[in-house]
Amino acid sequence: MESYILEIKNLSCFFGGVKAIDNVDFSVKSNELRCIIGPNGAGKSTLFKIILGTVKPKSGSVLFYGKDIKKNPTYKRVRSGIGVKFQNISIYNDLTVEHNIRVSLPDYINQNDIKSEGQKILNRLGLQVKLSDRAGSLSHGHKQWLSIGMALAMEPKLLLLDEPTAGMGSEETILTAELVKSLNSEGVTILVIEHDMAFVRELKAPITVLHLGKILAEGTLKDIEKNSNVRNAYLGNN
Amino acid sequence: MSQIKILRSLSNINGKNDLGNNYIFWFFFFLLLLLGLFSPLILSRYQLLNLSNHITNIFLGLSLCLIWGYCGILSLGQSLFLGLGGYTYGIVGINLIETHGNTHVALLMGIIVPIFTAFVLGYLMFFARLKGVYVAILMLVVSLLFETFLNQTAGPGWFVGEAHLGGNNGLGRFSGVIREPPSLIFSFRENTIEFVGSSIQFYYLCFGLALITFLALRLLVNSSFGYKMIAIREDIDRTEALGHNIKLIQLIIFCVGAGLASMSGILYVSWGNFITPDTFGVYNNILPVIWVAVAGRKSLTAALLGSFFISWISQWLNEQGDYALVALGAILLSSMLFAPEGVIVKITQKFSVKLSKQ
Repeated sequence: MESYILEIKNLSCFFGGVKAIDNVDFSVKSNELRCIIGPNGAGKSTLFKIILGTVKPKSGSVLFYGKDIKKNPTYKRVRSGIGVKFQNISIYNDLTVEHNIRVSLPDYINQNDIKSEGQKILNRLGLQVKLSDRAGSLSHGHKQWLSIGMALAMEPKLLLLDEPTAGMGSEETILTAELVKSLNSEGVTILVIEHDMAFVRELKAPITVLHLGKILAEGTLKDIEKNSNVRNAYLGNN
Repeated sequence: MSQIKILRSLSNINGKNDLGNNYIFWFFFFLLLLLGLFSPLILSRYQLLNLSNHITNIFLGLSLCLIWGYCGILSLGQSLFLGLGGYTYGIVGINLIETHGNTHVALLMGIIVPIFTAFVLGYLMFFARLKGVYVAILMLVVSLLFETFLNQTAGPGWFVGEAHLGGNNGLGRFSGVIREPPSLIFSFRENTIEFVGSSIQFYYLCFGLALITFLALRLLVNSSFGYKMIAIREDIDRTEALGHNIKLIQLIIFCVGAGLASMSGILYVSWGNFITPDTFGVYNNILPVIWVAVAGRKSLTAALLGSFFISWISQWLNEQGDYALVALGAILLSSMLFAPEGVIVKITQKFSVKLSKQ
């Protein structure tokens, strides 16, 4: 039997009459790197929010390492190993890079080691910024990376990345893909939501396509590109 | 090894989460400290009485600075805890002073009751994920409820033990009863020390407590807990997604804030031996917001100086006529326009920029 880090069973979530997630079954293996794509309003971000616990589903269950985490509040889910980088760059703009990383590090890190731990994370990201810089003064791409770094600081087992390359140039996009791949090779299971097909192509990872709250297709990039349902979903029937 | 640890954590006093971590700051700090220590030798009794009163306000200012400036919880009813502390201390004090001969229990109850109230209110607000303006309004409403309730306690039926609540005349001599809340009295074995409002002892008590509180809070805001508080102020959802129990942190800091505000209340009652329901009113709830906002809410140092000096100025304005609140409003308005982060914060920033250019 294969070990799943994340299993989603019969998950449904409605916003008023809109079915954001409609009876979805979905599972992720340990050490997997998976992309989730889909047109706007497909339910991708809602799926992440349900996994993280900030949105409550109407029915269904989310299993992390085989345990139902429905009753766990967000902070407990994060502490148990789910790291997240939101869609909007959510760093603390008015605080220093050091402060940003500092609040991301787990509590057991000694106060005196904070600077060196922070520097380690910057090095791991290949981020050439100073710890004393104000986070708001970083470039757009660097903010995105810092935001990934903050999710990484907690050493998550499962990393959820919601549009990590939004607003990035092509060079930065390729570098981000390299970063994601290298994190994955270090043993972090990663789920990526992305619109940028160049980035998805670069990741060379299996893809799940969501449309109107349902899973439309799963497979490699080639399979997905050939799939007529996916083409219709993106481009319309005509 | 443990000594090194203690020294290291003490160095947090000089941390980055408050204004002033250079020698110039500490120079002025020690200058003010000396001035504070020796002012009883220079000042008259009346001036000292006033000075003590302004120092009692510092705790309320610091409490609002802590919860609003550092943790992002604006309360327009922070004076609720001051009033609760004062009333509880007064009521328990009146009842127990003759049998006990000291105010230990009154002091303890005066701190516990507001903290417990904060715990209940905070639990309901934060666990219901109430934030922003709703917390501010709810706090003001609760405070005004207390004001309304206490205002109608003038009748002869409103006694708690021997303490008459006294309606809008409040607890103490103005309600026509002889029993008024006692000043703080500490006793240890045979020794008893009383802190009458106009005494030098009371002044030093307030001064010492303000000093210790200020330094302890500087340690707190520069600890890892303090960094989390600031993160919550900046982005509450992000901080939760980083694995922090934000409701618990908010609740803890709200209770600490209530404890600080209650100290203001207890010292105030000990100072003047009375307290009235006005304490819970709009004016007294808006004042600390003005002190902290004008001086700089994100800095303990600024809040401390703001609470002290602006309450001094408002007293002086009160003596000049009925327009104190109008003038204070003008001060708030102009500081919001020209120094939205606070006057003291802005001055310090300009000063440090000049220094770094030299």
